[in-house]
Amino acid sequence: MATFTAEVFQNEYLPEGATEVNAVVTVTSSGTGGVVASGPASVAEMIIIDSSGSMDMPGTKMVAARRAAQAAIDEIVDGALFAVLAGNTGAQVVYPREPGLVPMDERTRAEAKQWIDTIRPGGATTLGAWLDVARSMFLTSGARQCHAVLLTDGKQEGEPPAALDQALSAADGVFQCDCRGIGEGWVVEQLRRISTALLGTVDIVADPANLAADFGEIMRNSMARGVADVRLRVWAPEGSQVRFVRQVAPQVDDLTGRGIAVSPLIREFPTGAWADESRDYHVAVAVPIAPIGSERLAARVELVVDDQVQAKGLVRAVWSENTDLTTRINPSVAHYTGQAELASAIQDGLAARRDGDERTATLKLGRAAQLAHESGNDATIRLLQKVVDIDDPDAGTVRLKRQVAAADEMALDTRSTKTIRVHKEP
Amino acid sequence: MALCPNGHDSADPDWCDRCGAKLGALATSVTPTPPAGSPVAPATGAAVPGSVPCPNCDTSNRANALFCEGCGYDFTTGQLPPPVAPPSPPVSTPSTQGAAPGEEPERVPAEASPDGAPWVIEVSVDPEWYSAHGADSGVPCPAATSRRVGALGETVLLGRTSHRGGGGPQVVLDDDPGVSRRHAQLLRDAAGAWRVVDLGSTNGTSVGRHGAPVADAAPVEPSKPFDLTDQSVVYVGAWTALRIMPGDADPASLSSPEGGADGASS
Repeated sequence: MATFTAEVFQNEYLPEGATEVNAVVTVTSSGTGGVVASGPASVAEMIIIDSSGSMDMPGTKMVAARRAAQAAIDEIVDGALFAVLAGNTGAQVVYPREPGLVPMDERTRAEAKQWIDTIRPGGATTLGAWLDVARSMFLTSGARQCHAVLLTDGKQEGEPPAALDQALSAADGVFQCDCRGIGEGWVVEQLRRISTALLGTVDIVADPANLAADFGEIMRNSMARGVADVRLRVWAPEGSQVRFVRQVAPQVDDLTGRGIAVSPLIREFPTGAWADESRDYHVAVAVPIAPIGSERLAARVELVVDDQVQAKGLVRAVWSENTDLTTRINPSVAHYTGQAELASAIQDGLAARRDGDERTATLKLGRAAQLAHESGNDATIRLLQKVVDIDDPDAGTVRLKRQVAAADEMALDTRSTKTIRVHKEP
Repeated sequence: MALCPNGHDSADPDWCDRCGAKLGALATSVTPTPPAGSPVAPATGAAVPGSVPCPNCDTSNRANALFCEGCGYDFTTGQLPPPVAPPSPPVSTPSTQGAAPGEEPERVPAEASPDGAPWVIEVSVDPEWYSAHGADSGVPCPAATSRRVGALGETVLLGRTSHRGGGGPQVVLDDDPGVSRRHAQLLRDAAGAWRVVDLGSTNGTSVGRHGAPVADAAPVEPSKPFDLTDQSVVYVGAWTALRIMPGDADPASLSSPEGGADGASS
């Protein structure tokens, strides 16, 4: 039986006249049991492999993509529904050979792998159309927990740019999607848009040889998720404004615009399916001013599954004249405020660099180096060092490198949202 | 039900459901009392020197208070708080002494329509909708009837009775096989405008216009609130049509909320 716990980290003391309350809520799940516990028949998986013409240049990409799809097939548990799509101009169902999805078993696994070997490159990269086909197949499958993994080596083409956003808003809530870019011809922003909207991850696989291992891991992670459609429900008092709701670990993901109002004071934010894991959320609420000495509930954050509350965290506000109390910043809030700034400093810095604005790029990437250094985010520092020379990490002094491999820049961009967790004291 | 210092009813015994005020010891008291154990307890009371009476409800407030502790009156802007759900919060004095006569209409509780009557929902069996959308359900359409549900809160859940517990719907549509357990919600804002949100129902929710053919009714996007007008008809399930309207002067035709107004039915 899955259990969820919620812990709140905040400084609840506000000085006179202050209205903004910040808190980090850590939610931890255990005993979720994976898809075997929730019933494999209610789980659907789709593998979407780019088979556009560019996958043939070089041909190792297409070969690696086939191996990766087969590795993913190996990880899908028996009984779960699945299908394999080849994406080019439109999307073709590679397997099954009859309409709809089929349950995984010994026969279908072997057949699917054979058919994957028949995928041949040719055509455009119509990301929106691929997602539309996946969505309609998931919808007719009747599965409750739907997940896709999408591989591409190129940028969206062969359809109007708006097709992607339309496909994403239609797919919202139907399935989750992890995205992988292979090579250097794809656009980080496009895949990030897909993975953000569809509650998945995005990453670069620079070397085709590593793709199969990566796909196997994505599918194992998906199979570990035993609780579908978990929602974060946030209540805030009348007259208040929820400034933002942000997932901050394991990666930064702004949920603010994704809330669904279930009542005038309550909004629900979809968080997808959960395995045994822990995620942190940063919630900021502007509450109406109250007199010194008042205590108010500023937000109630709940984890909801099937409309049942599984865990609850209370965010409080206490107005005080004691400056010792009101001037403290909670270490978790400070840490994740910094990690969110780190992500946007990297993205803004790389955008400025692409636009030829070296001054802004140097400032932003310098600030990123400083923030990564302060928080001990070593993985990000290593990625930054491939794009800039860091002279003084404390002061944030950097120089832009003249020669930067495209793959290194894309790796820094895609992984900019990965955060490290803080060691917490309540 | 606990009562918060600002006059709100709260299902949560610890914190007010509406304004978040700490309840506990204050739960049944309407007199503002400093919370015990707070780091700096302010010296407020009913008749402290320097206190000011609220022009709206006469509650005594600290001289520098921004809002009235009793009714939420904003001392800075002179604005009244949004109307409170229960019709008569105990803090309001019977005759609203000191209130300017012009303020009277704003004090009408929000469960009344603009002309003062309560809102009702007319729930009817619509054979036209059935023949357009419900006939393939295989369940024969019952005779065209309509009933009215009154005493509506700010949110009204449409759906079927749950056997798994949890909040029951206020408008019970158990007879209609095309209605989901939690099908849709009607929401009213402080100004009295209504919206409908489809809660991810299996067969969806459509909105059409009264008097227009049902073929013109369009499905609403799930989870996105859709604004209703006084001419809107909400279609759900195989044959159910709903209209929200100001209640007429015939209370005999009303049934009270079917699943319990608080959603706490069994």
